[in-house]
Amino acid sequence: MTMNKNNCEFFCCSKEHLDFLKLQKRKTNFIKLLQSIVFVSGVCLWEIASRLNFIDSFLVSSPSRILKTIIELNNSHELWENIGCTVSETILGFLFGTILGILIAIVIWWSPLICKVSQPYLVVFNALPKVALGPIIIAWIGANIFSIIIMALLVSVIISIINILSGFQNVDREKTMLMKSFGSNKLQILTKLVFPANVPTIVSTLKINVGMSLIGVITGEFLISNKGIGYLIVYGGQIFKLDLVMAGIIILGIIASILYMGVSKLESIYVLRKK
Amino acid sequence: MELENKIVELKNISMKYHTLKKETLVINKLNLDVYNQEFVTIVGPSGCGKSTILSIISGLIKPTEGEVNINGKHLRSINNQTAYMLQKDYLFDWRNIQQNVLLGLEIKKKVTEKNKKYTIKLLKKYGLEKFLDCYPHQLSGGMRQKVALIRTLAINPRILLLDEPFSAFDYQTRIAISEEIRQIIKKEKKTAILVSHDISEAISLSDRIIIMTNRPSRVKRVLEIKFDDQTFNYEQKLKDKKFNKYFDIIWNGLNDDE
Repeated sequence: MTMNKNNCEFFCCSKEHLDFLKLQKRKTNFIKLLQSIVFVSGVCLWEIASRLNFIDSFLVSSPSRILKTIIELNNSHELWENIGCTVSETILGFLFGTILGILIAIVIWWSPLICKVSQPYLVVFNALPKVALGPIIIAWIGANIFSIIIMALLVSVIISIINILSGFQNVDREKTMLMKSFGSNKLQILTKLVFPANVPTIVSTLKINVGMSLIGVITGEFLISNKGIGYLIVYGGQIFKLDLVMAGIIILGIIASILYMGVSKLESIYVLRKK
Repeated sequence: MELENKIVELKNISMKYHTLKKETLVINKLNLDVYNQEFVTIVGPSGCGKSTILSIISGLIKPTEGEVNINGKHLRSINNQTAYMLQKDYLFDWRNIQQNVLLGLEIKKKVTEKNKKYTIKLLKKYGLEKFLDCYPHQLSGGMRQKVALIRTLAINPRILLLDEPFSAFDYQTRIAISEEIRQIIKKEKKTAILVSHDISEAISLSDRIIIMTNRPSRVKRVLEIKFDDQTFNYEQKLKDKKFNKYFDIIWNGLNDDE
């Protein structure tokens, strides 16, 4: 490749290359087609099976009943209110969790002593299911939105610390030595080497954290239950209206993928800018 | 040697490394002088503390015993006269070439117009001006190492510490890039201390070769390298009959145990 000639790379466009591209394109299209077939046939089978009473539609619901529930929710304005609630809680928990995670990782990286002392606590806190802390948080903060955000924060913060810290510690020792040989202090090593070198780590932590903080939010809503998709699901379960539960799960799936795609988009913008 | 002033003076340097299990004496009462604008290579068996010597000269680590004088002054902390060049270029891939080259000046808070101009001039002089705005991954390995050299030269050090900077290259690139870098160092009138385990590289680049003993190491032999023609390049030196003579001396020096 003639990379040094210019900043841009040239693709040759011979017939063979075009054929190759076409073949690749066909392969991806084929996979997309299969994915759609699985989805459509799954939905159809589900619907048919429940219409013909092969399965108990009271227990497993059906696509049409789920759709009907969602439309009803929409008409009574409950749908968007609950979605907005869950999404905003997730985003807040996610932002605070990540920012706090980065700050704590910096502190631990800065001081080898703090690093060694905190090690066992990090291990225990990481292994501990954070749901168990739910009652304590509610007792301390009260049954409100803040408890839910704290829950989301707790679920995402530890994993952020561990990921980002290991990224910080894996920076080439020689690069650090190079910095030191120029006479740099610790702050300069952080701002000019360790942090910029770990922007990709932080971005990939964001991706994990979206999912994590959604877990935190839903658990929080399960416990505190007055609004949000988690509330809808628990409520549906309590009154044995499984259509509502299923609808909640489907909405949750859509929210989760949209949030994840949002962060992926951020990542690709970052990558593009770097190029 | 035209210039006879000592720029680096190591007096009775000893270095011990401690681990939980034991204490290792790596360097034992080492004495070494390097003169201004000289190109000195340190060769020795692996583990003899060659890189440690460079770290001691740079002030990154303190010797257990002994005295280091740089330019007649006792060395206390990181010194401003030395700069490192390492095995890999360690360019930061989030900075473009210009930003990479200015790293040292930035750290020292000396990014003045004058220094910036000097750096850009160096890049121009050595054929890298087209790549100012490129990122390291767009450059070939040899060019990257040249950028690394200019990053070192940018802070205008008097002494360059080269820790096997050519060992990552294949043979042909190594000859080309090391010859080029030697010429740049000579042109810029710098003193260079190279650590290497490549005997032919040592002979072709240096004015003087220091052969070290096994651990705990000290200087075993000092060899002056003088070819009939001062302007010989790497290749011409390789083909000269003196080359083999020097090669044998170093080879035997490294292999026979005292």
